[in-house]
Amino acid sequence: MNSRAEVLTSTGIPTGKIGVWWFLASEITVFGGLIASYIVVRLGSSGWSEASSHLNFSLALVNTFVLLTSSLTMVLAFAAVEEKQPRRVQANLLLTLLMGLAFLVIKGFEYAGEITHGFTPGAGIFWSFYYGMTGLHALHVLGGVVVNLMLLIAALRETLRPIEHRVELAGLYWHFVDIVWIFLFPLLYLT
Amino acid sequence: MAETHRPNYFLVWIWLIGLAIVSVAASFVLPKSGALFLIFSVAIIKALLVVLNYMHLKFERPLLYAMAIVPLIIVIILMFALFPDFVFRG
Repeated sequence: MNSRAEVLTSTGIPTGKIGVWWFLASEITVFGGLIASYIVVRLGSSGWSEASSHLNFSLALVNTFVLLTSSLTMVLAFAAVEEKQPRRVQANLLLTLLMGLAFLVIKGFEYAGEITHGFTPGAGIFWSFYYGMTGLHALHVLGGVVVNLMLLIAALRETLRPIEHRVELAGLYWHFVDIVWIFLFPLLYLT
Repeated sequence: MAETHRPNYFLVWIWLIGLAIVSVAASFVLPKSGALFLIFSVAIIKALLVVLNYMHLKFERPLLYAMAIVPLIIVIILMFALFPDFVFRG
């Protein structure tokens, strides 16, 4: 029997998917507002490139590859659900989960290095934006890791079948988090 | 519905990694204005690759396009609303 989230609305789109897209629409304004403020404030003042040069570019680049690859494994988990391949669902959810955790650990090392050198959130307007934007993004990654962990546990217990549509919904969220990083990386590290 | 269509996910991933390398290389090689243009053009292309292929938006109904585009328009309006604050700053 279909769960409520799989029921089609009058639009022909399942309620669960519409719900997640509504949520993502609100998230676009949250991150979009932050990014727009960053661009406007940066255009109106100087010295940001110098501050940006103190960031750990190498760790951020590794994190970029980690997050892009985790999007691949997340969508492969969804494909495996559709192909009724429970082992591949488990493997890809596990890989996505591990890469999400790796992203957070690497980000933690990056923060530790910057704080050790005195670049705290109060060190200047660039650093306030940097910690605000990457911190909010990291919280979103953490949220995605928790959701993926719950799905992985269900997959390992073989209780995923009635709620397997949630893999697609969790994937929509995970890919959105990836897209946010696609913009944060050049804004903070490459300019 | 997304279930009946399947992009080549690996090919999309290769493009994403390749474009990331291009934007990093541009930041080192090109002059600043050219690099900025290329870097943010590449970021938009990467975002579109993810939205259309991994989020399957290219197989979805127009309503979902609207749900993604309307907040983007709001953000762009916000940015232009804030511009006079630094353009006309004494």
